[in-house]
Amino acid sequence: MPNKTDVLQGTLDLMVLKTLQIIGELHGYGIARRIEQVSEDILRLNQGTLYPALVRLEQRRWIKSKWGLSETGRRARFYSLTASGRKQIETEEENWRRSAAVMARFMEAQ
Amino acid sequence: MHSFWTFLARIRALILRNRLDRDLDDELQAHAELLALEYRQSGLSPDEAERAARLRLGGIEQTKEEVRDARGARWLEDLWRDARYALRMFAKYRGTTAVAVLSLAFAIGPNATLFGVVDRLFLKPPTVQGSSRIFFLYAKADRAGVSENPTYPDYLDYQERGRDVADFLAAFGHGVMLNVNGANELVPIELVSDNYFPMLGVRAAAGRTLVESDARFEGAPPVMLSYSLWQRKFGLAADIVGKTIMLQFRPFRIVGVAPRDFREPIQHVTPNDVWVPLSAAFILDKIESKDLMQRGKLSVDVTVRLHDGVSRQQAETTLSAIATQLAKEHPDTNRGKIVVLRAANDPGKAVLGAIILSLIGMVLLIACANVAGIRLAQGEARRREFAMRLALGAGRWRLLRQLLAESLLLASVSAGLGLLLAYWLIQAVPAVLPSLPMPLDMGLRVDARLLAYTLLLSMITTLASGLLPALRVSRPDLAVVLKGEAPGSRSRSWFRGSLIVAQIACSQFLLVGTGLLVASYFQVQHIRPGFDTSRHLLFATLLPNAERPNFNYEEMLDRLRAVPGVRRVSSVQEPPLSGSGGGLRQVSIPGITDEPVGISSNAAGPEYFTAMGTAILRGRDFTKSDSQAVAIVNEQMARRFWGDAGRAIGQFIRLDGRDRQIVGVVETGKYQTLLEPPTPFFFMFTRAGGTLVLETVGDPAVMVDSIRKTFRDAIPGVTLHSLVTVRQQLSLAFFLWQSAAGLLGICAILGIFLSGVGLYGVVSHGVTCRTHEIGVRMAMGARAANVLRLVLRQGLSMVAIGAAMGMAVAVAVARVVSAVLYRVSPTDPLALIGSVLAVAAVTFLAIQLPARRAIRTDPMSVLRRE
Repeated sequence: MPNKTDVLQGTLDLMVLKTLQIIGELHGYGIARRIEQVSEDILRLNQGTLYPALVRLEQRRWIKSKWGLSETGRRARFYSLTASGRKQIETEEENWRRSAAVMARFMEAQ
Repeated sequence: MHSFWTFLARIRALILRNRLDRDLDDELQAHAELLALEYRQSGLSPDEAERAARLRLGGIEQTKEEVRDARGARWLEDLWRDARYALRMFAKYRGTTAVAVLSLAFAIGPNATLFGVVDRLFLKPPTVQGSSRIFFLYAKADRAGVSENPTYPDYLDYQERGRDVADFLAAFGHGVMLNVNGANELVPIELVSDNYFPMLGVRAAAGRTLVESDARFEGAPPVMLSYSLWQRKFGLAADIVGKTIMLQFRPFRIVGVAPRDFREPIQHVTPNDVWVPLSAAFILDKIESKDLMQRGKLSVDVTVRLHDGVSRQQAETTLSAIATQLAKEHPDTNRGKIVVLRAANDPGKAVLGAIILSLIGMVLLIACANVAGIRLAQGEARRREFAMRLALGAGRWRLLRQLLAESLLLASVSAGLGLLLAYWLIQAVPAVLPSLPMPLDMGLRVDARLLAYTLLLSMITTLASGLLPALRVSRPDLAVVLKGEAPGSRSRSWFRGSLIVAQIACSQFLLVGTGLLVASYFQVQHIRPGFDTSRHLLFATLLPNAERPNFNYEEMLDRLRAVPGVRRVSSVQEPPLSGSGGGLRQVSIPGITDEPVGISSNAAGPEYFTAMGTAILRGRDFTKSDSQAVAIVNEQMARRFWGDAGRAIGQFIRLDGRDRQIVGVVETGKYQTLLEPPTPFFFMFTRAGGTLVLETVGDPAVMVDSIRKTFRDAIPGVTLHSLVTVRQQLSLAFFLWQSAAGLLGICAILGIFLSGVGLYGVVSHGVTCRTHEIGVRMAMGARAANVLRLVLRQGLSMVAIGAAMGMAVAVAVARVVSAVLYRVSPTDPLALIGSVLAVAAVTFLAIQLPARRAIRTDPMSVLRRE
């Protein structure tokens, strides 16, 4: 049974991947803002927790990064999906759908 | 799959961590800026925006830590940091660290070297297929009887009838003359059955091995070389295959080279240099080559490899049945009815090796005890540092890890130095060995096994020398230490004291052992080996230059007799106690025995016994006019068959179908080993023995050069294989005691030296700790004697306890191995007193400096320091 941190990490990882899938290329701040927006501010992360997740994802080669310039003219890192990252999204989405379906059946059960 | 990439990424993160840290900083700064911008746009002032941004981002330092954690390889980073810290620490405590490193290096070096020797001699398994199922076959007439080696025809029978239980191989070891580039050299040769190499699954290093078809050679017979021969005589020439070499003056065709470090199941002391098929037996002398193929004459080494699933018991039963059949079919040659299989991987050898390694291992433990004491002392000097770190929140585990990392670094550096020492010592080992009839290439190298053993030693060293001190030191009483007061060192001195006891006990043990072995060695020197060892004699072993050498034996003798300083020249087939010629000849005594009896023999020339100074009890020595019709027996043989020496004269023994008359009875001597019980022995007459015995007027060593010159200039047709004095000739017989005493002696010297260093450290430390107390006592009137008693009491009582313990264990062990001690009781007073004196001497030296320092304490300066 994965513990709470793992589940949280797992969901955060997927959110980052999806964000990059939709938007394309983004820096850390952008990813954090986007996640907050989509979750309608229900998830108000301590934005710092994003960065360990980004490191993990990059180590697994699901995302890649390169340096660019931020809106304020400072040097910043921009992240984007890799091919294996795209594949990982599909796998994760499938897992989610399946567990959601199972849960739904449980909820309906008498 | 992603875990592989993760691993790589972590290594990269470790290497580039500084740059990655800076990058992260930039990234976080950029993020914070963007947040601040957002807040400013929503109306906050720049300052408030900044603050809000930082809040929103979360703790930057914390984020950095979390990222570093996620990057992984944290523990590697920590280890790296610990290592750098350890280096700084070593630089600060240079003196004691140097002592520690040297102590360990001088202990690890000999340990590694000895492992190399023991590994080569006892531990390495044969480099062949299925070595665990390989056994040597011996037959016995009954369970307790003498082992009878099978002969070649027996081997063929076993092979055919025992096909279901095992594969069979036969080999016959000997020595032949190898002639390369005009130089003659005697090399060990093995004549092997046709299936030898294919069965053992050996792959040639060059060319191919001997195969079944080689047994039916035409023209020049095929030969296989050893790797070491290829290296030392042919310089690893690439075109070696197909070349012709002269073995025993006949051409042989090289078909290949054995693999490097090839270890056959049968381990001879000198590894084989050439292999030829058994069908090339003509290479041996006429008699031997004829006897090899006949039943009951020359024995061969039969090696078996059991089939899968066949147990040793089953095999022995089956083979014993075959042996019984053979005994029935050939009653006059085969008597063995019970087959015994002796394992190639003899566990006894491994045990012997383990014993040797644990003796030298004691030295390492003594060194570790020293280092443990040093680490403890260093720890005490650093107690403020540790107390501070503990107070600041470092966990005890953190401190322990740091200390163990330091010990590991210490052990690693020492192991490295020790390996260098071992490499150098290994080169020196061949120089220490006695001269053997054939060149001994032990093939000692620093190989992977030795490195692995050294690694194991450094792990053990780290724990043995570092764990306990680390545990004690990482637990200081914070309040006391931070206040600057001296810690209660009671329990610590107890610990160091027990280290001293252990060290001295080990050293005492080794010293007593050495003393007993040395005493044995001296006793053994007095054994009379059947001749006068104080005579001025030279033994000259000859090798022919060609198959039918063009030289006249008598002329050679005359030339030698003409050399000034040579009093008498005789000859013998096998020089005394040379380790060869243990074969039994089948002799029957007409009128006394019905069956032939196996008795060892040698052959000698005219005046042999006179030259050797052997006591001729009855009858006479051989003379020039004798022939094959005479023989001389020893007293043991005379007594056994005729009752006493007198009655043997004039009797006959029958050998090889001829009767020979006994013309003399000589004293019983030692023929194989110095400790053998009196054995019957007889001498045949030979006019042309392979070894000359030269009796000189003065010191024989002085004559060596002129004899050599005579051979070079005046005696063509033979080369001098060796020219040795009695002492050198006997060195092989003494080898066991010399090596054992030498080995134990080295261990003892190293051990007591290291113990002395440790004792010095402890006493010196004690003096330093008690300087204040000494000063006060002296101020109150204590004299030098009182001070000395105070300072030395604990140290000396430790030495006494340790010495007593070591002595007791040594005597107990000596009782167990008393077989090795010749005529020396386990409680030999000289050995015991000698070892005690040695310990006392070292103790005395060790306490000199600290004792002087204690006496010279100036009470005024001590009191002023208050």
